Amino acid sequence: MASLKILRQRIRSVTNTRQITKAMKMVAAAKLRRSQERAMATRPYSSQMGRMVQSIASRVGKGAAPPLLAGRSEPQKVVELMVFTADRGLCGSFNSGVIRAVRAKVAELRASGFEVSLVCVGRKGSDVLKRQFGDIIRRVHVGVGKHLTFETAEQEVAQQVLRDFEHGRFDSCFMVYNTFVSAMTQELTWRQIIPVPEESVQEEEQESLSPPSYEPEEEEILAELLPRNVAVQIFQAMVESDASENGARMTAMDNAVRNAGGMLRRLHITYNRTRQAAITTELMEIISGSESLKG
Amino acid sequence: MYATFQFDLVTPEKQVLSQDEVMLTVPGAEGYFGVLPGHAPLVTLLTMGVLTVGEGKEAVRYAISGGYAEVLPERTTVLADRVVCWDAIDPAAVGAEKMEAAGRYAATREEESASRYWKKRERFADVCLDLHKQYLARSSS
Repeated sequence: MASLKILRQRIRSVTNTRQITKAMKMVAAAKLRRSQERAMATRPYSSQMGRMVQSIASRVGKGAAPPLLAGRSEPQKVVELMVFTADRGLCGSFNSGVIRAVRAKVAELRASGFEVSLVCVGRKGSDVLKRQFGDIIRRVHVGVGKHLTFETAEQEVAQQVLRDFEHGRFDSCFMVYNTFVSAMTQELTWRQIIPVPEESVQEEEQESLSPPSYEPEEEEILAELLPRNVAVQIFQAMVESDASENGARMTAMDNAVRNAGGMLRRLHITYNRTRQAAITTELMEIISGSESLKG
Repeated sequence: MYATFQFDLVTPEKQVLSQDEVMLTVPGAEGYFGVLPGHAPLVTLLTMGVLTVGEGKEAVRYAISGGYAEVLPERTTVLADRVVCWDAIDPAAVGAEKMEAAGRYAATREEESASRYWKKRERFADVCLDLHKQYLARSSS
């Protein structure tokens, strides 16, 4: 059995750990509220945008559609994956879930004969992935999540993706990120952003009522709308990922606090038992000593 | 005929307005146009300018830095890049931003996309300042 001194030290260190995890949980909770609001606030824009792109896309002939919308005509060779992770760890399976999915996807794409390139948004993803895929990581964006606004997201991340596409460095682009569901749950999401995926046609009836007029022409609107749509989708992914990260961290830290509590309780019991045992033995010795003197 | 229509003003960062409205004036790519209930369906690019929501004395104006509008008979959606309401303009802050944007524009003249971006910020600051003057004029009269 461990000595009292060692037990005391353990109890102190676990108490400290609990204190720290509790503080981290509070911080995550406070951040979560803000980033959750932001994630919710961006959803209307990106869904409206998606709807608009779809409705114009359905009206533009296949031949006239720009490559951002319809993809390149030649067969696809390079697939780009955008990986959204956190900059820091200690958030449960948040990062590892994304990374596992990326590994599987890369293997799958390579097996079917595509080349793959990666863009990592967030430090943790690149830290792990560069060991295995160091040669195919195209760019790493670190610290964009700190003061995240749409404009910085567009300037720093989206512009480069679009430029790479224009220069023919890849043919299609997927994003993988955690969608925020609640503080407890995140949903791993794959989304294709280039070319724009064709959605199931459900608005058909409404459309047939009134074909809208376009100002300027459809093609010109599309030329503006598509790059922006890419930027919006990327921004949306960043915001969702940010909210999920804080949610995941809060949950992970909450578990850690509870865990530490349980451990402390067990340690206290052992400590008290050991102490009691020591006192009992001491008493026994005294009594037996005095008994033997009497006799 | 409808008396009002559903109007949504959204930016990438948040939903600014979602309400029933009677009239809008929108800075379209090919000139300002008005939207009343029952407007013919229209999709248009927006330029930098002033979006007027409501009519007459109650109208509220917003500076927007471009975007898109989708007009349907009973619903209009404006997707704007940046929106500032005219009562929320702080001339000092906007002036500072304009100075910064002008400086950055001069510094990034070689890089096309960056300089375009800063030029746009500078022009947007101008629009805001202009709108602020209008706001002051309206409140004083």
